[in-house]
Amino acid sequence: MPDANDNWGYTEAGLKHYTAYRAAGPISIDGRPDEETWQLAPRSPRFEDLVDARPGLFDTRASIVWDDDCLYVAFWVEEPNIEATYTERDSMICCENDVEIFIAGEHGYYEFELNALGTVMERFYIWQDAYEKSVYAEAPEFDLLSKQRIVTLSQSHPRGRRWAFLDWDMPGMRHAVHRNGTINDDSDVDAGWTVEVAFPWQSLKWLADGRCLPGREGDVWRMDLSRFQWFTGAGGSRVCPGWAFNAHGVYDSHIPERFTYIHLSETEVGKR
Amino acid sequence: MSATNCPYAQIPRYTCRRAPTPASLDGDLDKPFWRHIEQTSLFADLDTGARAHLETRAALQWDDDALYFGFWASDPDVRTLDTERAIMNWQENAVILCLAFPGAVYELGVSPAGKADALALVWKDAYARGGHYDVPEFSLARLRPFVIDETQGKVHARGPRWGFEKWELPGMQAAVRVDGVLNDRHHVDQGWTAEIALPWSGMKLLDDKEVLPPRSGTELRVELGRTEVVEGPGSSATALWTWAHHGSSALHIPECYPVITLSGE
Repeated sequence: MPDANDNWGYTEAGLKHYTAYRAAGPISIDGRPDEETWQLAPRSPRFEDLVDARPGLFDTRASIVWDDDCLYVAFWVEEPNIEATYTERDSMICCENDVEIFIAGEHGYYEFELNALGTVMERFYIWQDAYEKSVYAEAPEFDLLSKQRIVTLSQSHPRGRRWAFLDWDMPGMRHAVHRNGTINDDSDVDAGWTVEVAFPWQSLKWLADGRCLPGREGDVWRMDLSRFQWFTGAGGSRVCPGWAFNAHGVYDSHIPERFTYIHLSETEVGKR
Repeated sequence: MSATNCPYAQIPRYTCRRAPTPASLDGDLDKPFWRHIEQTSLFADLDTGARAHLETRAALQWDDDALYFGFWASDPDVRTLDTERAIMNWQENAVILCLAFPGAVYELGVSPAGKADALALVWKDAYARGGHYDVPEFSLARLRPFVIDETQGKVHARGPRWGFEKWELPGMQAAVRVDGVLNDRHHVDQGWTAEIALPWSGMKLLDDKEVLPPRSGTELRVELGRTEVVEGPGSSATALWTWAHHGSSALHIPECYPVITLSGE
């Protein structure tokens, strides 16, 4: 059985590295990543299939920058027919087209899902094998006997089950979507949508494992940026390929060992 | 969607009598201990109530130490994977018992190899800090339970339950006897029997409302069943036959469990 010493059996093959530079100025979270910072920041390659790394059918790219307050993520999402209906926070956003961000710590990770209407689902996961001896065990917001909704996630990861805190919201997280096209109208061809998200450093404390907040030169974070897209086939059958910054090799986002390496640089974007 | 499928008036009832002699647990149900004991009706499909393709019956009795279960399972092809883990996944042939207390359900499965596996489900609304279940035997952090019935009352309107796998009821004993040749696919067998004892002392962990100690007139909610793997070309399915008809494919609905009344006779 794989264990922590061999990375739970997951290889490094195909994992991508990204350098997140400091923003050149304020970023306004309005869904339009048109600030000079975003023009200068490295853009990810076209997202690839989550399982087999083929290029995603629709072009999807992301950038990450940071400043003293926040870590910022932008998405550029090509979508010829923008669709979304969920408007209630913490709906099962992934049952429709979405973009997703995962941020991993050693014993827990955060999940963020967002649709083209700007509706968000957030969750916090803690590995059951670590919970008892972790900082989470003493934290009121992760109290297993609290009234919040807590379920378990037991997909195929060899590390085992995770506590899933369904009501957890990241304090101060801001997000916005801008649609370049018409939503839920298939009579025309849309260009797609763009996304801006800000995660306050201080709210990443449950994932920092001793890393500085805000980050410092050379810090490495593990993040999964992806996008899921539904297609309908003959007879009404539906498929939902996932496209990610780098492939996981399995159809499962929840594999922190396969998250992309995000290297923080204190150099300002464009000054490198 | 849960209790409504099981009108109280239609739930099987059973009078559980005192054992006439001391128990000796060996899986043999032909011994005097089990003679003249009333048997349950034939088990049938959990969901539809349809007749099962193999006969299964059970009987219960009690004394000051324990509650005793006997199962008669006819089976022309008695076989087993011989692993505990397959039992609760319903990938193994097994006899099943479920015992419901106000705050918890205990499920035990025993295979023809005599292997046993069990599950304890504790209602989240019954699990309070410093309460009956806040004990090492139900430690959430250390035992790492799963959660069933996550958000929408899908399994039961009462809400979520913590599921403790491999949960051992202290003092539980199980023995089986095969009338045939286990795992010989070419031998036509008669079937197998199982004999199980659940000590009252061990049940206290589950009993948050002091249903116990047992007295004449004590009512318990007990479901009995059997999982049987049915092989088809290239695939297999598992049948689940139970004493009561649940009208759904959910086994862990205490409101559907037969009512067992202990009798001092």
